[in-house]
Amino acid sequence: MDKLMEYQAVFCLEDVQRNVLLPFTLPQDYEQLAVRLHYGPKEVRDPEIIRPRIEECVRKYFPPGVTLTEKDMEEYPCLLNFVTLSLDCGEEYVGCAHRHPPDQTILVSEREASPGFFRRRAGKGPWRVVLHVQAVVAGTVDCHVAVFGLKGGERVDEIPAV
Amino acid sequence: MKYLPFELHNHTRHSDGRFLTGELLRSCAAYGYRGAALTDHNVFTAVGEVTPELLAETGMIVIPGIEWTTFYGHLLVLGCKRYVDWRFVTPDTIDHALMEIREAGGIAGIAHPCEVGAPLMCGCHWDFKVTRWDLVSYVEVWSEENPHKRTKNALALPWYDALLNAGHRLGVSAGRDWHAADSDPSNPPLLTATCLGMESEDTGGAMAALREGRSLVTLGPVPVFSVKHGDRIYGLGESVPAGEISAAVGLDSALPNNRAWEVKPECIRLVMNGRTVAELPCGDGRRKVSLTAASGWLRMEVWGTYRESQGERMLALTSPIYVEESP
Repeated sequence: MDKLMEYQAVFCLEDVQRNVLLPFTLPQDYEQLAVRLHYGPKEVRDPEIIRPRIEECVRKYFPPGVTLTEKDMEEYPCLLNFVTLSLDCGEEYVGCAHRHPPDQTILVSEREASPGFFRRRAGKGPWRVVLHVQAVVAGTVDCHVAVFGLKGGERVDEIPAV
Repeated sequence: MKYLPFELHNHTRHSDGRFLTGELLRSCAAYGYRGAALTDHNVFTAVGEVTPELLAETGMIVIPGIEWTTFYGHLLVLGCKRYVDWRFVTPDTIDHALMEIREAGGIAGIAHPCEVGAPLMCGCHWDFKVTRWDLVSYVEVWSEENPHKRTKNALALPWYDALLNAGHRLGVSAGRDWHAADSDPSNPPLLTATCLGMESEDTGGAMAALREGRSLVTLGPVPVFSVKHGDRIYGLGESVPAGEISAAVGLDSALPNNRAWEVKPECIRLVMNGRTVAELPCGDGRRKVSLTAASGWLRMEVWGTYRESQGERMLALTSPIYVEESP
């Protein structure tokens, strides 16, 4: 198993709406490509932190005098930090993990691929991970990505955590 | 022409939904929808799971699509023949992206334009600076089930009407933004549907209906609406010359699963350029209304009540029939 790329960052409010391009190269063909993503904290529940952010949203996005309904408020018991990831092989889009779990392993091979990703050979050449910083509620978010190339016989459960 | 009910905004496990693709289509069919769009966030891999067997089992018409889930708004992109990159579009480059979508054979509709943005709902508010509105086909004026409970929908209709008043031609859609099966499908929430005027009962027919403005949204009653000018009859999305017209109005019905919500249509309103120009109680059969049509747009709305509606609510509205000054 080869570690092909690793990236660590601390995202803050200024990073929101930023795409982080992380190109890497496969020096050879692999049986499978594995992308590990971890970021955190995921949830921010402290009412003293989230209430001003919610009120700021209402001021920004709703006309004066409009308040959130009870139904609206049910949807916001906490606010979520959110980082998503997409993957390219050369010029081709392989897929995206637009989902909330802050620990994910994305697998791509000719035989199978994680939901949201096309099956394709983990072939030699240029690849790219793109991180999409969707939301940093307050403070900072630690983010860690690593890409591994698995050779024949190597198991997914042997991939080191990030 | 048949208007068939669709659920046009859905998510599966390929993005953040909990549905398997088959589960989603079976759930839609069980609620009486005849078609559905697959609109996972930024991916279209669910389409690969739509097998001929699944289509035969459910009888659904499936529109392949993707919800461009960007930092600056969500765009429902349907029917592209090739991938168009959603990732680097900015408020100032949206026109170029819309052109690419059109060149790829796709159509674009704006999802929940007046949803709040980050950090509550990341990128959900529409902040793009569109100038080529001719490249946008429709606006999702009702988002999620029970649309009158949500502030974003109360804001979306005036937002959409302002675009019509500025002369842009845009249809309406409703989308549940459906992510998971209901815990008790025998007792569903108040459902919405987008009914599409289908010249052919297939994906191409659905795409054509959205592209050409033959759509309406409903909680059950289905407006039947056309206008006659001279010897010609004009339907949704078409352009009628200004002047004396005769509007034919009536109601059909859809969404039998809303029966428990006691949806009761009470009156029909014809709205021209944002003003109600005719109002009549709902009744049996088709009725005719004579109008002097001014340049702009004309639509039919159905108002009434349902369980928990707390007064009169809009139960359905059509995309416009456009009115053009004669040359």
